[in-house]
Amino acid sequence: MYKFDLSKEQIENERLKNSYCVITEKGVRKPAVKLEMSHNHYWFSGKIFPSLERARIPPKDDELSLDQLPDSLLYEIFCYLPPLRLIEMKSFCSIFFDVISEHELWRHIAYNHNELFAWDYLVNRDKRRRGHIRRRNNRPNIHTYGIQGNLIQEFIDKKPEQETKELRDYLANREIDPSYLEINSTGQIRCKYIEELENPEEKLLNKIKQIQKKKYEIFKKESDYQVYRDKQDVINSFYDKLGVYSLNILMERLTTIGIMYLPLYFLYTHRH
Amino acid sequence: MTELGKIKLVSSDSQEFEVDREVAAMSQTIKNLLEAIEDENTAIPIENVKGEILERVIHYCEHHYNHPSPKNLTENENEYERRTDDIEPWDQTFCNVEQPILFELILAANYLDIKPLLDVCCKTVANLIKECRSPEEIRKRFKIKNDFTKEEEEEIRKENAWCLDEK
Repeated sequence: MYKFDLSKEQIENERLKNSYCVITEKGVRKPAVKLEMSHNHYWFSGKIFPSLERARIPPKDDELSLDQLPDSLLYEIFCYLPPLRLIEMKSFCSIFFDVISEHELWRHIAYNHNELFAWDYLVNRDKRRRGHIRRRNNRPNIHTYGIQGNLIQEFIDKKPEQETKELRDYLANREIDPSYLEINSTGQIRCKYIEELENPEEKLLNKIKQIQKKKYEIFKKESDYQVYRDKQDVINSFYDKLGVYSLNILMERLTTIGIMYLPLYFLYTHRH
Repeated sequence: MTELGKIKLVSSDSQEFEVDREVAAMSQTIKNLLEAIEDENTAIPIENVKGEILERVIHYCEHHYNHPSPKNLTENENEYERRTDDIEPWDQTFCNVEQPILFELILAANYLDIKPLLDVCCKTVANLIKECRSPEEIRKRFKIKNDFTKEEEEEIRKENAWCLDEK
C-alpha cells in the first residue's frame, strides 16, 4: 500500500480530475490510488513519493501523446535535449515541469555538449562560483546565473557531498581536450564546452601546464599573460639586437680584414 | 502446439504471434517469464501491448537478432554522453511512424524491457523536439495542453526569465 502525503485541501480541490496509478521501480503498474487528481505538480511530485512515479492513463480510444507518457519515459527522452530547450519546455505544462525540475534532469543534461552554453572555469577563484553557466549570447551583463537563478543554483552549485559516486568517478576520469580551453578578456580560463563542467581543478591545471610546455599562450591571468608577452618582447628584442650586433661586428671585422690585408695581398701577388 | 524453438505471444487485443524463442528473449521481461514457465507451449500474454505494436516490436527484434549492431551502444555508452545522431538507418526508418505509434512503441519497449528499442525511440522523439524551432512549434507538434494557472505561468516565467529572450 502506498501512502500519499497529500493535504486535505489538495485532495478536495476542485481541480482534481484525473485518475492516477503508480509504477513500481520494476515497471509494474499498480492501481495504488484512484484519486481525482489534477496535473498540477504541487500535489503529485517526486518529493512526495520519490521511489515511485505516477503514470497517466490515457483515455480509451484516444491517441497517446507525449504528455501521457510516464515520468520515467519522459525523463529518458528529455535527457537527450539541450538545456535551453528543457528550460523552455518546463513552461509547457505541469507534467514537463515536474519531470524536468524534480528529477534533477539539469544535473544530467549539463554534461552533454551544447553549443548554447559556455562553462567558465574559474581557476583559483571562489569555489562557490564554480559551475556557473551562461548563454553565449549578446547579453553581457548576465554572468551570475548560478547565484541569481534559483534553479541553476540548485543544480550547478550542488554541494560535493550531494553528488553521486558515479558522477564523481565520471568527472575524475574526464580528460580535457586542450583545444577546448581559451582565455577570455578578464583573464579566466574558459572551457568552451560544458562537458568539462566541474572537472577536478588539479587535472585542469596539469593540462594547462602541458599546454604551456607546448608553448600555447594560455595563462592563469591576463596580467601574467601580458607579463609573459612583455618579457618575450624584451627577449625577442634582445635577440634581435644581439643578432644585429653580431652581424655588425662580423661586418666590421670583415671590413677591417679587407682594408688591412687586401692591399698587402695585392702587393704580394703583384710584386714580380 | 507451437513449433520447436518457438513461443507464442498474445497481445492485449488477443492477437497471437509465433516468435523464435531467442528473438523473444531479447525482451528481458519475456526472458524472465520463459525461465519461470515450465510448459513451453504456454502462450505468453503481453497484456499491455496491442497487436499492431507487438508486431512492430517483434519485427524490430527479428531484424536486430539477424543483423546485430557492430557495437552495443546501450552497454558502452556513457550515461552522461547522450547523443541523438547515432541512430542507424534501419532504425530511423523503423521509427519513422506517426507520433501515437512511436509513443506506444516506447511504452512497449519499456514494458518488455528492450533497452535498444527504448533508446532508439526516445532518441527519435528527442530529435523531433530538437527539430522544432520555437516552443510554439513544439506545443503544436505534440499537442501539449497548457494546464498552468495564470499565476503559475507567471511564476515560471519569472523563474526562467534569466535565460529566455525578453523583448
